[in-house]
Amino acid sequence: MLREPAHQVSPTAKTMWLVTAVVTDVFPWAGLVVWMLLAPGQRAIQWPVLGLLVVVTVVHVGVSPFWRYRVHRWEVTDAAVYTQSGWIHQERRIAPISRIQTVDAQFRPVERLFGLGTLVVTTASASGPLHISGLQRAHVEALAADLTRITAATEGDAT
Amino acid sequence: MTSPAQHDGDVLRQPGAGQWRRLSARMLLVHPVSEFLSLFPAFAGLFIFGQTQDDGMPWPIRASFIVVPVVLGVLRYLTTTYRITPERLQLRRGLLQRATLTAPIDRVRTVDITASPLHRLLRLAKVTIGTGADAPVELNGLPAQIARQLRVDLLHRVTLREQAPDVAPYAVRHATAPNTQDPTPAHGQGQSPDQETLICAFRPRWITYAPFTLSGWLVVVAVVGFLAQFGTNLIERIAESEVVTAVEAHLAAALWWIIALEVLLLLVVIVVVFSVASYLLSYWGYRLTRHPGGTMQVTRGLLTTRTVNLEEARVRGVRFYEPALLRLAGGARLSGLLVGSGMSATPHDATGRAMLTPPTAASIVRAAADQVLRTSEPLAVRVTPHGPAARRRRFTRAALAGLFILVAAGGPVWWWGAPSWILPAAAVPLLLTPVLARERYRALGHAVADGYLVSRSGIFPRGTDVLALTGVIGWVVHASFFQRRVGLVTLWATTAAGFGMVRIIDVPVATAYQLIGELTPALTRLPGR
Repeated sequence: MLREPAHQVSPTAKTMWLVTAVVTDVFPWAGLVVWMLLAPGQRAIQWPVLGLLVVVTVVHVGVSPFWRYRVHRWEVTDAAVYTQSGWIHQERRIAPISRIQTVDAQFRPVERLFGLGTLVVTTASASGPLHISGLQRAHVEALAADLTRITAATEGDAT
Repeated sequence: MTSPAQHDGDVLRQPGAGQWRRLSARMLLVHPVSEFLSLFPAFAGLFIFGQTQDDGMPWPIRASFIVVPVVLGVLRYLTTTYRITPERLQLRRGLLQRATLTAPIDRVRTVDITASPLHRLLRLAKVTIGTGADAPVELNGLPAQIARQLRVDLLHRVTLREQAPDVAPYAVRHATAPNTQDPTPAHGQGQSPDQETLICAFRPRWITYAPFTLSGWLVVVAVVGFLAQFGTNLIERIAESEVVTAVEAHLAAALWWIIALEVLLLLVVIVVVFSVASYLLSYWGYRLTRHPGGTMQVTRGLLTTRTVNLEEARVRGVRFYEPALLRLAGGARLSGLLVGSGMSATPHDATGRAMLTPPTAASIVRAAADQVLRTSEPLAVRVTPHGPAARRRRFTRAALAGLFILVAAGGPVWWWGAPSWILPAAAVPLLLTPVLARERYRALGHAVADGYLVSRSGIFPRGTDVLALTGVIGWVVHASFFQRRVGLVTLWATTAAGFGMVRIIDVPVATAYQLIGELTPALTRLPGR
């Protein structure tokens, strides 16, 4: 059995995920409020939807950031990049250093707000790159530089 | 335009090979036709507009239908030139916006030849040269013989490079593999590059599998959709015709089940006719061959012929696929998992898969797969089942799907008073679930056989992916909430070929990590605990 990756992401990531969850959940709530104001005759459908939305919001805002923080882990060894992410649905990704094609440091607006960033490692596979999100900005840059140097030294076209 | 006389030599080294030259002058006959076809929507619009005018269409517009394509075609011919030097192949084209496309000879990965009926009549061909990096270079209109020679030259050059041991580990592995069960004589030694080994070839009786493909149904759907969209006028005219009147009289008199039978029969006839026609158009003359230089070649087509070349160093495995109807008829089809190049426009590179056999008898497809893989083990191996938890999951999921259908059908009956005979009909899937679930579990499994990872799943359709272990470039372990509760995961072996991964569904967590450890030991050797 493979153990978990060694490192957790920055604790600031919890705050970031919380804020992101709140902001995204505003939209369905706004939609529901408008619907309830415009169509008072459909309360029979609107109440169950409201109840469902309350549950979803509580889980999404109140639980998911902290659950995510416990799940999200990463590790870079001299052989592989290894990540674990998700909350309800979890996934682990392993890519050998020798198969890495590109290494990107990504700083989206929300991440910049919290001084965080994402390390994106792509391989030749079309089934998706590895993301390590919620790392300190300086940390992302250092890791990207390291990995770029290591992969540049590896031969082959990584397919 | 000089017409090159002798081409039995090396096209790349011929006298004058490095000069800029035009494509075959016979393209002056082809270009206007293709320009007309590409302008056809605009012309059709003008034509319909002209019909609405009282005095018909003004003659300049009528003339433009002929003049514009001819002028464009001639311009295209005059402005397109190509040059082949020992280092690179270049194509210059465009009147106002000149563009030069370059393909370095030593990066050429695919050389595909297509010939439309018009091309074939004039003994011309279109050569598409892909380097895997940039847009492919299209030489539309070389004499067919030169096209064939160019392909041999280019691929021969490529394969010389690819046979370096570190670049083509697969070729080396296979060359040294002790259990090569290939019935054909030894490859690769002392043969000329255009000598080929036949792996599989079209037989006319394969068309019995045509009705079991979806192509006939697709044509029917497309025709019905087209008529519904644009054909109201046409339908009205048909409706007023004598045939329809006779049919109407018949329908009024006949019993309902006779009508139903007739409609069904008509549908079957239409589907069979269209599917056989489309099967013949696509697969007539199909041949899968292997060339000692390290390429495989698929040739096919009744009217438009296509020749696709697959470098063996790019092949990472195969997918043995039995779609629903085809499987009932005992048929299957085979595609190759190729290290793709998303930029290339050739059909196989768009998806990273290449057709290796058309839909035909499963045994023929199996034999072809064994030859392509150079081992019969991956498809003969008994796959490891995924255990009781995976089995239960098949049953719950099947039952949930059956229940969903019942509820979806039952809702309208309950609330809106839909006819109640729907209920028993909708309960059929739920009653069938135990059978389906058991079959689905029996199909599910994975194995490692002779250097390949094998993963099988599904009943209708059933897919078996065979991926070379050397083509595995990483792993993804998915675990949904319900999977974690019962200790299962879905394991993806990621690869540069095919759709980017091979899925092993609902495998026990311990088995998954054991597999990762066995197949890629370096990855799981993590420092410290």
